Amino acid sequence: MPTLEQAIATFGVTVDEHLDRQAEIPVLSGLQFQGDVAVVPVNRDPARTPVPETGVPIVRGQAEANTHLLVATGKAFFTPERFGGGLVLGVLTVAEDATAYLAHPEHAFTGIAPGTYELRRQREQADQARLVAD
Amino acid sequence: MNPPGPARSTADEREEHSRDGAAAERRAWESAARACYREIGVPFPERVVWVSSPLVGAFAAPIAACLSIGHRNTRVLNSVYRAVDDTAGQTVGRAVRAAVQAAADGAMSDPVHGAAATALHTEITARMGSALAAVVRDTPHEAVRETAHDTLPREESRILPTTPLATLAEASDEAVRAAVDAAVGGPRQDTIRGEVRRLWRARLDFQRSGTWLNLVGHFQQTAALPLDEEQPQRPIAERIAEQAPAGWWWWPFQDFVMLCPRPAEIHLEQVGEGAGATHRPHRADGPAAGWADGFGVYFWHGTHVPRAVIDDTLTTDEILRESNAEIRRCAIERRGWDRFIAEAGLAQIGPAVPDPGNPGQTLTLHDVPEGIYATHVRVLLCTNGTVERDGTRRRFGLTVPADCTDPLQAAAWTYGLTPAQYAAAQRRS
Repeated sequence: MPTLEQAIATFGVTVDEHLDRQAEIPVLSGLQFQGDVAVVPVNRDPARTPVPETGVPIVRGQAEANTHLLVATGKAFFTPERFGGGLVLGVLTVAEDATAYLAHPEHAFTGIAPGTYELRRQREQADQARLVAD
Repeated sequence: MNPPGPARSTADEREEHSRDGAAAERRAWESAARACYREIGVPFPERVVWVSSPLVGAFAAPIAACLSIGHRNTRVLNSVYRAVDDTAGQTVGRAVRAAVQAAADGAMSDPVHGAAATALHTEITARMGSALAAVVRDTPHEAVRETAHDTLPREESRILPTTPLATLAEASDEAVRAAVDAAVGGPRQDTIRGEVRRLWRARLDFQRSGTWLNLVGHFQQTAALPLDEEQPQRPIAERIAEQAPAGWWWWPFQDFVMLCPRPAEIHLEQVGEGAGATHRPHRADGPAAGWADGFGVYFWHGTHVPRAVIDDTLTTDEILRESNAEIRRCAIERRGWDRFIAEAGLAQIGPAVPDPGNPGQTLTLHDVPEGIYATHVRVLLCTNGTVERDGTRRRFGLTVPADCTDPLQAAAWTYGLTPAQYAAAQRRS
């Protein structure tokens, strides 16, 4: 498990200063959440589009801020859901020996172990269901 | 007087420096305004009046123009001033009276001249418009063209504001328009009120975003008017405020021109880090942009809200009755969902449960009375998985369908999961 400091150095994504740089980032294969994004283990066809070195912005926050950025060490693949706008953002496949991370300025890093997942976004029931921006 | 000495404090120097900066900026903008008049072949007016805020100018310019045409019924004028006092406050009212006097002085005693002069206002508008069109057509300067394009006629510019200053300017426009409407938009008719309305409709309401401003911006860029080259490390808000000519108000007439300084203070919050960082207006304890006379606009994390939202002075009922869902949400967030739920007495549905994957935190579900949202909803009170700068964890509410009967089911619904799936969560950050 890398520390927050190592992840920041590896991916060049920085996070809020008050977060503990020495804290280890758990790398999990089960259900986990990063703010308004869920990483849901699923049985689906694996994704085939490689995650580029610069990462994939999964959810862009208001005014480009608070983006959840998908990055990886080793091979990871992400296919956005074909018809966007729903709860499912896309399918993530993390190869054996690889680790994917969601990076976010406020929520720091979420480590994702090998496997296939749906990345989902949170919704609210307002006048009609709407997606949550954190 | 104190003898000059070496022991001047840096604060004094800073103040003097900023005063000098403000004076230099005024000179620069006045030169740009002169260049605009020159461009369209209209002599620059003798009377140049600086107003303290866009609100003051929005009232003072049409009233002064109206007096110039010869409407001089003191009783009517006083009733208009009282309307300004009532809607915008006496400080603004006094500033409006002073600006009107400065602008209309002389015209008062020369109604014939005034009538002829002010009648040219529409013509000035048209000429400025075609001058700008020429500038845009002839210049290869991409920035000018983009600026012009961004803020050309309102009906053509439906794009979202992209800079904090544009956001602030739009909000100020809204606030100014509301205040002017409140003062002169009512059923009561008289010559001055009618004239103020007429001049507003003649596009006096949005000089900020109208074409003339871009013309000023063009001349400021090209007329060799360096504002300050020697200070590369100035505060971000200041640099942003200077980047665009938008956000600048002026009211050009043939016999007077009114100019308004940019806000005396601007509060922005940074969102994101590094090269991707952006800024948006936000302030939790006052106006996000404020002018010297107290006029200001209020923002909660980038959303323009009424002052009472930031001052947190609304009653629970007022928040619940607010028709704009965005503002209602900001008001509740400003107060905090946990406080709001307690104050509004929102009934708890089911027991509190531990939040899976978020050790030590609980989820509670509360009923929201019908009629607040179009559909009947409940609210799930959650706690962030990450600590804030101050060591606390942010508590926030999420609205969920009213058929959720326990917190776990509600939390699962927000991600489209089953309660059993949600209960197996391993981590929340």
